[in-house]
Amino acid sequence: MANLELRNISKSFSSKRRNAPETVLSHVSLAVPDGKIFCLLGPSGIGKSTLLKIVCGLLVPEEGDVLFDGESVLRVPVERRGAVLVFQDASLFPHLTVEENIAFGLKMRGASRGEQRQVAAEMLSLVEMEECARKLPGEISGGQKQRVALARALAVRPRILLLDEPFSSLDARLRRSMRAFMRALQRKTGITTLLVTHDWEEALQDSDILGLLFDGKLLQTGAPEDVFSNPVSPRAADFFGVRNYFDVEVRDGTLSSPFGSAPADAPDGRYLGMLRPDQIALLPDAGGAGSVLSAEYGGERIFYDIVPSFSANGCGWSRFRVAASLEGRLREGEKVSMSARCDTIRLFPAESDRREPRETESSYEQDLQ
Amino acid sequence: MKTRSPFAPLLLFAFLTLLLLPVLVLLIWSVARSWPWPSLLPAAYSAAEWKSLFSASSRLVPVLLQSVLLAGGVTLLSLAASVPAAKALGLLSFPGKSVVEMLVLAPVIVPPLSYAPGMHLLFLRLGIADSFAGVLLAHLVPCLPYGIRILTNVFRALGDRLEMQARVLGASPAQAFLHVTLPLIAPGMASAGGLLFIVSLSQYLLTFFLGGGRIVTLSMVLLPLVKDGERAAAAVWSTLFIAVSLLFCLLMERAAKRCASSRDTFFLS
Amino acid sequence: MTFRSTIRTKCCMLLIFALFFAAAPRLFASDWGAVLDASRGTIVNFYGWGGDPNVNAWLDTFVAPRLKERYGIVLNRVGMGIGEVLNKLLSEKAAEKTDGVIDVVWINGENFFAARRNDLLFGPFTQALPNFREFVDAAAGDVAFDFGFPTEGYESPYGKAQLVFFRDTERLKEAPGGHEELLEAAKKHPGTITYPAPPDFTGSAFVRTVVCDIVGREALVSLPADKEALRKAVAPAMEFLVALKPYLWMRGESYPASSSQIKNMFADGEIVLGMSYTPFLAPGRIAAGEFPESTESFVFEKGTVGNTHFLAIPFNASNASGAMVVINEILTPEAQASKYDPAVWGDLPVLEYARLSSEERALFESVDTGKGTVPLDFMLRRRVPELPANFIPILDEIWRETVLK
Repeated sequence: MANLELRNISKSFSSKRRNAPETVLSHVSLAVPDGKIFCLLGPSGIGKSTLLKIVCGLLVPEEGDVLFDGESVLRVPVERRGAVLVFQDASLFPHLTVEENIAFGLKMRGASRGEQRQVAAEMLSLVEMEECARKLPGEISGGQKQRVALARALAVRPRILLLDEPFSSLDARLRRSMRAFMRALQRKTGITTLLVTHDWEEALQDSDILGLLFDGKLLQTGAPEDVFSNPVSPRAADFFGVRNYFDVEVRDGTLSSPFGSAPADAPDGRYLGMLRPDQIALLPDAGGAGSVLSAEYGGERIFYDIVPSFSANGCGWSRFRVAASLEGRLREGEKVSMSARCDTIRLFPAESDRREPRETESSYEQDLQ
Repeated sequence: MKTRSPFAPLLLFAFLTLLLLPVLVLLIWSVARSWPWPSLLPAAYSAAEWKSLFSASSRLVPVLLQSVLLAGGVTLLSLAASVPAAKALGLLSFPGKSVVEMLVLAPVIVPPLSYAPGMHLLFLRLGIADSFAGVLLAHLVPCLPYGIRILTNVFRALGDRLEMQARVLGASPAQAFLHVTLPLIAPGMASAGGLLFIVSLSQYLLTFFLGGGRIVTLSMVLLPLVKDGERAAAAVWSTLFIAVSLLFCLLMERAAKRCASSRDTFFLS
Repeated sequence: MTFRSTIRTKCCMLLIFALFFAAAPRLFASDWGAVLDASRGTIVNFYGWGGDPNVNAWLDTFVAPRLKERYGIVLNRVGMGIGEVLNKLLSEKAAEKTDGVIDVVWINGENFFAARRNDLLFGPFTQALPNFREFVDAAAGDVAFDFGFPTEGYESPYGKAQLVFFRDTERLKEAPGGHEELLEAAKKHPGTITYPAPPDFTGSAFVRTVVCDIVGREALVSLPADKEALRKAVAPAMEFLVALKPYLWMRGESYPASSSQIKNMFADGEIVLGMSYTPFLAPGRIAAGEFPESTESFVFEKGTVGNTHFLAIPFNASNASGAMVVINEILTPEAQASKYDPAVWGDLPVLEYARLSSEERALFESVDTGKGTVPLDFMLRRRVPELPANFIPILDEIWRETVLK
């Protein structure tokens, strides 16, 4: 076990299409205290996996340093670094049995056969897979493979555990149970863990510390609830599927918005206001400021796309997303009024770069199924 | 794997016919004396050519020994040289890679006749002409493209993920290759090896030029017989050729299987 | 090792030159003894075409054991065509390789001419061979000349061959005695007669036999090796071959590519008449059950072309003395009589009958030349010496231009 620190890591790859190198990590610094889970959330791309490969030594950064317990490990070769990476696809060795897969790392370290057997048995019971010991990876399910991959990584008692979207290839239900399993396992073993994912819900629930990685840069780090409720920029808010923006003006300590006015301690000026989908309430109102475009049933809640009569300057996104309870269901085309507590409005500078959410980014729909 | 198409028996039949019929015809020719058209079977038979195969003048044992040693050696050397080259071509990207990939195939396109004399002259100057080592080296030229080509695809299909995984778990580069990559490419190496063996065994011109007649392989015996129309004798030696190739391929498959299922090399017996 | 064998070669060459210029014939016996001593326990690499199993077997089972027993020499037969041998020697010459692997090479005709022109042969050496001096008439036309070129002691006769026809007497009752009768036979049995297309060795010899049958050898030998002159001279023969064409196999639109195809076609009964440059081919094939029992050989009344094939020693032979012992052994009456046997090889002897003792003659007389052959003396009397080697490619070309088209 160790604490992990990354200082100012930069990495770029030569691009095939363009001659210029493509920067995938730019001056990334982060720290993971001993025994904690740091979750790195970011859109699909190569940046996150690259960062993990740099930590375990499969890639060398162009700039920056990797420290375990305050000591630089850049010169330590991958096999002796003690950071184990678990890939998205589990990457079990197909020619070895489950047991042999788990014992692999020990065998490479020259452990005795007895020790290999003993640790393999321990790990199998830890991941509750004793009955599969002699099976080949081709004979077990996807979830079982991930458990074996975890067991194999834990068998070598790594200083740092690196998880690269470990459950994203599993179906939603299995993914949930595997995540719970992984969390419990991490608590039990207390291994410092760096997890990368593009699933914001997973990131919020599984992490002790959350980091947002976008375009190779770390936008924000902090406790998950802080990052969720206080995004530093509209882009950071995007990670959680927010798309409700509107113009706000502050004058003499008073904020005025389409949702009303409230006292504010921001300096005078124009701002971009933001509300999360669950912070807006809807009421049927023939003279309301918006109309229901569509409704989506989402289990415990229902999601409405609302076309507001107002929009943010230069925002370009003119639809609101609102999460509401199932009671008093609204029809499509119905006029509604939107209300919110104005003191919950998050203010960003008016010039904030605010683009439409990309397909690959997470949103409520795909994560609450 | 176990799904059976209704065409399966038909396919099997066609396959066996296409594969076995020529061998059967070869076997008949080896004992035929006269086979007038359009008779279905020969008019006269004789086992004379089989008898003479086992006589002293056929030099069966030295020819077989030289053929197997040479082709086997070429196969092993080619595989050893192909693995790193194929790994680089299959997994790395570097400038000029497509050009390298094309150049690798060049010896297959260029006929041996165009480079054998020059090679002979070079080997003469190097003092390795008319020697086993010289022929071995020369055979690498037509063999390497096949080895590299096949193994490049094997590496491409395998990817580098598993080797990275092994490294991360604490395997040195050598250990990762030995315990992960090698068992996984073993089946590919076996099929490549079978092909390389046959390519080497079939080399007539290169063996001829660079062996100076001292290295006598099956092709060296077979070709004059075919050219001179000694049908029965040619059939006998062809049968031998096929038998040797087949046997080697089977041995390679078995070795690969043993390597791939590392039960006996890993910790559980 | 390389160094030693080079020294040995040089010593041998010196020795040979000494032998050759030594005046007193009595000296030879002891000097031949030196050659024998030098070659004892050595390996001699014998390079020659390996496509005939009979020839291979004779060298391996008759010559090799005798050499081993008498001189302690191991004969290593290497099957390699003369074209490849010459290429190899040319490369070695270019690379200045002095310790070549080839000790004896089977050669004749234009290849000998090419080898001499490129200075690829060692010699002259024939006068140093006791058996050559004793049994061979060095002045005879088919020893002193090889396809019209003087041999000058650079090659020693190995055997003689002659073009011989064979027919299935059940189907082709009368043996054609000349070209006219061949045409008659072809008309009577359309589609069942053919010959290999020149430049196949046998096909080319057949065309020359027809040329000699129609034009006569004497009318040609004095001509220059000039295409137009030859074309004019052989025009009647080419006209005949064109007239023969429609009655041949496939109406003469296509010809077998090789003499082996002729053998196989005859064995399968596709053709009733074939030809071979191996005079005693038929009895061996009858005995093997390939040719029908009713096969008979014959030659034209005016004769068929014949040649001598030779053995030579390359310029860079590592074991020239061993090579001379091998060649000398092949000139013994025993060896010549052995390969004369059609069951063994069926190659005609090169020794002067008059120089043999009565016991030695008996060796030849006891050979059963087998079924369906032409008697040796009858055949030799109808033997037309080959045309000059440099005529051959020209005649092949004329055939291609006028007959094949």
